[in-house]
Amino acid sequence: MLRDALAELDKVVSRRVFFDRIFKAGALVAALDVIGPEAFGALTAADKATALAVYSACCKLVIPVDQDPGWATFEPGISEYGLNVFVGQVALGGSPQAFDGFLGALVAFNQAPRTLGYSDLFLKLGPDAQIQYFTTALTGGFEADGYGDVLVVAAFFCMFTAKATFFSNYPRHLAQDSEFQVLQPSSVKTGWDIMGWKGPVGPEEEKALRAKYYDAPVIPGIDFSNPWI
Amino acid sequence: MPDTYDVIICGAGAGGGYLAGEIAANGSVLLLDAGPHVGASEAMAPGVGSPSRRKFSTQINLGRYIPDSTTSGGRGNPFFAYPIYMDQSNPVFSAVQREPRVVGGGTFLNVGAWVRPRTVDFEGFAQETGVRGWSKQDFEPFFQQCEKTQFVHRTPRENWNPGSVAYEKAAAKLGIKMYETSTNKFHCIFCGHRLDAGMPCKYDSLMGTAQTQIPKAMAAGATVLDNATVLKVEITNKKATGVTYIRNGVTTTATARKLVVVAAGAIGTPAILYSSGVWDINKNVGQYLRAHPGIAMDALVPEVPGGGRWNTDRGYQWNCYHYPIDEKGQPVDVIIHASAGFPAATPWVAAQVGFFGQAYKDLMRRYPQRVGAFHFQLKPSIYGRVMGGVEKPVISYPVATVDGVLEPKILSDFTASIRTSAKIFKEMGAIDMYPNPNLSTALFNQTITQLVTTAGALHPQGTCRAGASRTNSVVDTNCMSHDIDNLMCCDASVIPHHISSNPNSMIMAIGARAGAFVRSSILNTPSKNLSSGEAVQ
Repeated sequence: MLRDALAELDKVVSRRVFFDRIFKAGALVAALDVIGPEAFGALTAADKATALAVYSACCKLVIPVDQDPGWATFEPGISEYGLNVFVGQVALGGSPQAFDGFLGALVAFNQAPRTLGYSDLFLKLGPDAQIQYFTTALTGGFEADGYGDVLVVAAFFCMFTAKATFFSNYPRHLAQDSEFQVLQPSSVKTGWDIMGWKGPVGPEEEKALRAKYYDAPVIPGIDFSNPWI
Repeated sequence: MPDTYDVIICGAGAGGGYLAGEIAANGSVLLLDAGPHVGASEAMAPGVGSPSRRKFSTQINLGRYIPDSTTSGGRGNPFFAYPIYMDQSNPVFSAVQREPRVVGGGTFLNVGAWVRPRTVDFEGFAQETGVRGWSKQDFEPFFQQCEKTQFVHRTPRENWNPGSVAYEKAAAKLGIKMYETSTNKFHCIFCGHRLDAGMPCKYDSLMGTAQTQIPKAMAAGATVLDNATVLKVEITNKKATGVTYIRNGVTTTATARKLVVVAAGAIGTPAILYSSGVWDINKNVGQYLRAHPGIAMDALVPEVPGGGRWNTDRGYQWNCYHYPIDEKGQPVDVIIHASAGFPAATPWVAAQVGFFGQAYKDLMRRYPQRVGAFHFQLKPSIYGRVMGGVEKPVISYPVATVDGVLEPKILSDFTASIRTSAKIFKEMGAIDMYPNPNLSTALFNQTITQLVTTAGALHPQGTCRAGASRTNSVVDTNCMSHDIDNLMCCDASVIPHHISSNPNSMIMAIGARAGAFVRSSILNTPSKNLSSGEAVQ
């Protein structure tokens, strides 16, 4: 049953706590949007590289490799894509100030474990320790340590955007310079594949659909059987 | 390019775009929009689309659109993203309110479902602000005109998606009356590509103003400037004289001989008026924000009649809707659209579920068959507010109290609607659903509160509302400012009171009505037969 599955998952992440964390994440992003990069100080090129590495590592936790490919087996460049497009443009509304703030949060996410009882930086932790740290951050477990909001921002947006990218079939269905966005053969299974969605139509399917539906009959006007309108 | 026009319209969405098509043949018109005009130079063919629109429809789902040869900063972002504060118990939290920024506005992105307001809505207009001339009878010819120009129709049931068909049949068994949802599409091929409410149709089958009225305006000689962000309306001696806007880094002031129309939506319009100093004169600017809290309800229904998967056949459509009915036989203030399912509702819904890792992938494999319904609560008992100017408007829509309790009417109405949908899903064979009305009251209420406060304010309206007096409103019956001569508002902001549907149909009717007024009273040209709107060819 779905309920059983959800209960099972609740052992990993409590829905209620998770949504509460979303509130805090949103609050901090709003603050970052106003305060800008000053919130975390100026970012160096090394900081940006670290932020990308942290983002990639988190995404590998979110979309693991099992009987389907996971983040680690997606195309080269997917981390840059997820970070710049889904975090920068979608989640943060294209605000460069908020994006810089998020990169700063990722850097902090990497450094914080040493002060929270872990042996090393996040990037140098083993897989089990990484997922324990990531889960604790996502559920607000470090709030009492004063890191809660910063870490939950990083963890939440990593999880959200990794899954958004996973579902978007990056980049196989996006021949963006092609007139018809032709479907390319793909060996990569994505979220849509698992859920059984066929993906956008290609030229041949479009042709068949046009033949079938292009002049499909319609019923003009609205439904006046609704007595309330 | 001239810098003086008879009419300048700020915003090319449902209101401004429709108005432009109505008046461009009667005077010189400048139509400004902050977003791109996708495929503007290419031949328009409704139901076919153009390469650049196809590119746009794909990229916009990824949150960006980058036109070729783009150099100006900020150009191409398809949405404004405003902070919106909804939970008074957590005053530092803001959700993100996304408003479309593209020529065509909300109609470019989101007009697959055409539902008219209820009769009670029109009665509410006069009760709320004393506005005259806003009765159902007054607007009827304009709705009919819009339904003709926008090719509004219903789809025969053989082309409904399986979710809508099954939901309607199950409702009928329970004695629940469903109504057919009209749509304004043209030559739809049911590609299933439009999976997100914020995603345009790449074949231009959605008949928004970008496909109908704006091309009509351009053919009549109107000038359309995309990527032009309006900074303020120029006002001299309480008279609107022009508009200052920035485009490609260059700030320009254009002069309006007869009229300035602000049609930037329920968030953008009060922001422009604030920056123009109108708020200093009339404190109702930005007040009285109304919106529709929304909840997506998902049900696990393993068996699809005839086989297959929910929502993947014949695309993502809301084919039918209903209202929950109370014990007195009256509709509860919620509209329920059938057939919005979890698998169909884009990456965004799935991505926001707070699970990840191995268990998350297992969940998708084990339970792929979900179908759903989308619930809009139509009349919350609260007002919100838009504050600040064009550089950074901030929205307050306090659906939760300082104690974190959801506004009682929203909660009670959603409780009724979810119970009604749950009965229908159970009749369809659902083995589980979310939100589940069988949860404990405390947990159910908490779930509803969480869903509402994280969703933003859907269908914002009423922030520069029409009324009988400047003491309770910003514009008059004809959408003309009470305080500033030659200034009109024409979008969702003028709606005096909640309406019980997606506001696109109402906004277009307002645009059509404003067009008749502008032609006859501003441009002093004969008003054409209102029922003779040209159908799409």
